[in-house]
Amino acid sequence: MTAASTLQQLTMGRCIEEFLAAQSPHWYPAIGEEATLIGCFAGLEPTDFVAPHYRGRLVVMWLRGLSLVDIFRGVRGTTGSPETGRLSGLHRGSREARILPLVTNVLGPNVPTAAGLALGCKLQRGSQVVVVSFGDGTAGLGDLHETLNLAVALRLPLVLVCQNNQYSISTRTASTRGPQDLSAWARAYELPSEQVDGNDVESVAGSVGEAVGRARTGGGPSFVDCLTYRAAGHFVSDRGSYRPSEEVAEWAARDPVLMEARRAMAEGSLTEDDFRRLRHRCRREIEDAWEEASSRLAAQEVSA
Amino acid sequence: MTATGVGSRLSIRDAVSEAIMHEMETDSSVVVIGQDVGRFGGALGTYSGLYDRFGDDRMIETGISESAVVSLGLGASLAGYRPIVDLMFADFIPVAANALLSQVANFSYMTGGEWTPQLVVRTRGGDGPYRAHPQNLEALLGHVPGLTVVIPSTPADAYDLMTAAIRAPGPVVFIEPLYLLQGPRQLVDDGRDPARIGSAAVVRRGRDVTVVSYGRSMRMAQVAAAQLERDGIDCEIVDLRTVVPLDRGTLLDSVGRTGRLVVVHDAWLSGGIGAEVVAIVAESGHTHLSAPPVRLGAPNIPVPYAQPLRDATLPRSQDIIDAVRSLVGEAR
Repeated sequence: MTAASTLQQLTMGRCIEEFLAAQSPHWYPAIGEEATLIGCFAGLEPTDFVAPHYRGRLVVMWLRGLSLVDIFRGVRGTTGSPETGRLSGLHRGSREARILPLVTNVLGPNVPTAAGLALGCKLQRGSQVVVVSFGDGTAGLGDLHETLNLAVALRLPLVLVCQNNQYSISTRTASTRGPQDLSAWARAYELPSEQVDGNDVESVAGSVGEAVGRARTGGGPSFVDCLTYRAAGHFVSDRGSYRPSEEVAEWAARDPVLMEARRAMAEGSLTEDDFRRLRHRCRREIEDAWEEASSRLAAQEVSA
Repeated sequence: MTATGVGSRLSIRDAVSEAIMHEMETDSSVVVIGQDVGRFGGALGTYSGLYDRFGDDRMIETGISESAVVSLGLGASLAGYRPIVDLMFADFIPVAANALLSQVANFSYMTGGEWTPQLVVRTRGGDGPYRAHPQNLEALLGHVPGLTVVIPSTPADAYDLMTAAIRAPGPVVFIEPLYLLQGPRQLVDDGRDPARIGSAAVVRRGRDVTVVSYGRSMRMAQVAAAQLERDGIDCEIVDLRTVVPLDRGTLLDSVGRTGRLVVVHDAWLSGGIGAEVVAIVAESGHTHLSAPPVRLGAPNIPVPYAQPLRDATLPRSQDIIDAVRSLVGEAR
């Protein structure tokens, strides 16, 4: 993964989330969590399975090669997507791109289901791995703990990633946890586990990449706790007033997209102008795709 | 189509295990996942001999973790396997409710058929010789669209329906009645017309009344029918075999012939499978009824332990006899 392509991915991820946030006050934005998303899911093989958390799923779909038009058609609930409007565009999956759908709004059971995909990979004796992500809220469910135990007992090629944005709607998850360190929870199940800076795409990609390599070569499961921050509310119209403004400012200064852009600028591989053009290109691509997905919607309504 | 069999007399327990063994021999994607399915041979010997033949690659042992294990089976099925997840006892169904009701049941519909889990959840329950694990939770599963629920009452049906469940294009919950698990043996041989999922069986022809049942209470229905025959009352008995989805055609045909309906099961009456049977007949076959239908089942209290209490809650053959007599008497 070159620095330029990583920045493109981060920027596209940001622009997708910002665009959808502007479309609906009900959108659950992943703004601020792009480094965790890109770092976890960009370095995989097409034959690997991914089971992303709901927040940021569209970015993962785009990373896995789905077209923006196809992704937006799902969001708008138009025909043409395999679910034909049965499942929300945020929850959909793709068999071809090996993305596990979320077929229920209940978080949790997708984690052991991902372990089952990993069991399938292991039984086939191939080198595929499964990467599953979930939030710090979901981490409290028995589903995660049962999966940690099973994954170690069955030595599954599974990488478990906590997309730890520190908030479960309005609840600061640390305030509801007994033991504080999530990576220590996993270590208690005797699997390699570490916490990384979830806003630093290189750290995430490094740690997840190591875990993926281990899983691919029969080394069993690993856990990565990516400490990041939900820059917006739980949904767009949630102003997030329950969060201290210093905390918001502190994390805004560590914006994952800007951090990567500054790094590239410091290396001399990117200018302010390049970055502006990159953002512009991403926005244009998104707007065009949205328009195309919407025109199909209009056509569908006319014919219905 | 005719079925092949093993040519020997089997109990339900051994018939199911034989069916699994046969499918595992012919299809390498069939695996068993659950607790005690290894050297121990499964709870109550339900997987006897399979570990020796297939080893721990295909008899995959897990601990007590029903919820995650059902999801694990689901995931393995999405990766191309045909797992049989053993839940040991039906009492544990609620532990896996989220996995079963929110995930397994939804998958095919919600993905427009793109991902269709081919998964069997095998369990056993209801009153039996051990008196433990007496829950009958089939109606709970049946309420949610997407799950097929099979409850066989004979060894040959058990063999055929497990074979069909493993090959089925969607998820099947397979519940063996503990009362009948090691009950009367039956010759499971070649050439019979195999039981199919979704098809009920008229196991006794009769002209006076249709007695619909499944699982353990099928025995009570048969005892009652034999007794009533001596009094000159001729019962037709329908074994549902698949409780979800119900075989509407066989039900309505039978009631169309007899004009009277008694439904009997060990599960709670309220919101039960019997209520669904009566609703089908009320909606689509009421013109044939010469008397109001009768439902027999457990009262709405948790299943008690002490034998006299347990016996007082489960429908007995005498309850069926009384119900049939009052129906036939009313009509005369």
